Amino acid sequence: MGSVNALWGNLFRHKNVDRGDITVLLKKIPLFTELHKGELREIERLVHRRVYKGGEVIFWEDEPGVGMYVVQHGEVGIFKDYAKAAQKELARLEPGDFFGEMALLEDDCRSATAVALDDTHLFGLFHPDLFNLFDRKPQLGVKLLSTLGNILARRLRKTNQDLLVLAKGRAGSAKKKTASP
Amino acid sequence: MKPPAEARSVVIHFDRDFFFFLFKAGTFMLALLAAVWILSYSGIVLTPLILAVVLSILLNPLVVMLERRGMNRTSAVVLVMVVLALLLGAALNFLSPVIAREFKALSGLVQNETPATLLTKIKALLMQHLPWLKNPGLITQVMDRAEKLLYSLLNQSIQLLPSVIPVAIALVLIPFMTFFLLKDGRRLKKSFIQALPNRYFEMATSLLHKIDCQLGSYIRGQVLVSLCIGALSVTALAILRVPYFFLIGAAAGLANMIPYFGPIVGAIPAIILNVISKGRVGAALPVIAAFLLIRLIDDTLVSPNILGRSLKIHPLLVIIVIFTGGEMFGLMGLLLCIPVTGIIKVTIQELLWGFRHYRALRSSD
Repeated sequence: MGSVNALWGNLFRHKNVDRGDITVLLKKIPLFTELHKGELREIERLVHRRVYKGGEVIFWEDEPGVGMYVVQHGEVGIFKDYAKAAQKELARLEPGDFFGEMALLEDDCRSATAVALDDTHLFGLFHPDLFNLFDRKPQLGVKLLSTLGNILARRLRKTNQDLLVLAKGRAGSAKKKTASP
Repeated sequence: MKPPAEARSVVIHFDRDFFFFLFKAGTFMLALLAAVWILSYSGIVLTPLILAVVLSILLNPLVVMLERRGMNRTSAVVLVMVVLALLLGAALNFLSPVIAREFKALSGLVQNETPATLLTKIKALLMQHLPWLKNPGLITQVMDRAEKLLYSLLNQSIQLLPSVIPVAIALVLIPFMTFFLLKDGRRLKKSFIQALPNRYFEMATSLLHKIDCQLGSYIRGQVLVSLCIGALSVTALAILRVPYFFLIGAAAGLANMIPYFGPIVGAIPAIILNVISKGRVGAALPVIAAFLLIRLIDDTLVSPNILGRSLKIHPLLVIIVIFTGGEMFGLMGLLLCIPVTGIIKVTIQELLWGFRHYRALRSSD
């Protein structure tokens, strides 16, 4: 019965969501900050609105990823090895945060499980819709892909710096070990 | 007492949620079948709907091309529809004298000749020109079979011929439906995905996208190949001065949508009519040669370049499906059985892929 209710619930929910609300939320996401109003409206048309109950899994680790999500209301936890003894919480996301954006670019599997910790409202933006948009509006596609490239470059730089710090720390501790009798 | 190892390894866990999913999918399929069944009784809506879906799949790339040039979706759809209407009008205006002349002559022939008289003529010609065929009994048997086949084909074709009122309604409905499918198709798909429960939603998005891509390229490819074959057939038959070359060539292009049998079905009327009109069996040879050449061009140039790697169906399955489709739904079944098999094949392929990759389909955890 619950599943049938969910079906009807999905059919008739969110009729009163303010469109301005979505645009404002999208504008806060680094991927879309450079877009103007008209372009944001194009993205808004692609967005899927989903409602999750507390404890409901949004996507599972190792499953194929289709796209990214933005938290509108509620809280989302990102877990490694979810529902196993070695479960580890990697991050806790709040309204305005986004996750799963790598699935917009690659056909790879999810690296972690996302779980709604509370009753949560999300916006989903998916790879097929986005690439369909790139086909129709190549200029917007170039803009989005270059922003995504910048974000990834920044992350890579940050990872390199972290690795350098880690390597220095290791070298330091190795020196200490050899110096100590 | 513990069960033996082999028995333990085949224990099947019934998953309540998956059972519900199957139940809902089954209910949905039943509702869909019921809707199709009801609609099939009022073919007045179903046929225009199918044609509108095919037309919208064919025209979508043009609309996307205009959108790429900065036009909004609605204006692009209107422009494409107007240009298409103008082109069709111009083509009809240009070709209508030829089509009318051929229809008139063909209807005259149909009134004067029944399949029985037609086959008697062919039999006489065969006996006259191929005297080494010493077994007239065999020819009679073949001709009897051919007569029955011709009658059944004629009956089915007459059933397919639409009356004036449905044609008028279809002429209004098809552009109307095509317009809204092109304009709001994406929104309709989004609303469908929106209605799905969370656990199947990502999988359904991926599945629908893949079906959309494969089916779109298949239908566009098939129509384009048929247009090429139709144009080649009309040209070849016109050069050979085969009577009713336009109608027969166009029919050959349409029949090309039926794999393996289509080209043969397209060639037979041209061969028969050329033999009868020229009054000698040898007249069949240039027509056969022309159709063989067209087949060669199709196999080496047209199909590999247009269809490419789109939807491959095993030849054995194609033959089974064609016979079943033809037996169950007649000519319409022959034309539609391969695209429908394509939809089922892609859906099963993607569902199996989903079973391997998505937990929602594997278990309830």
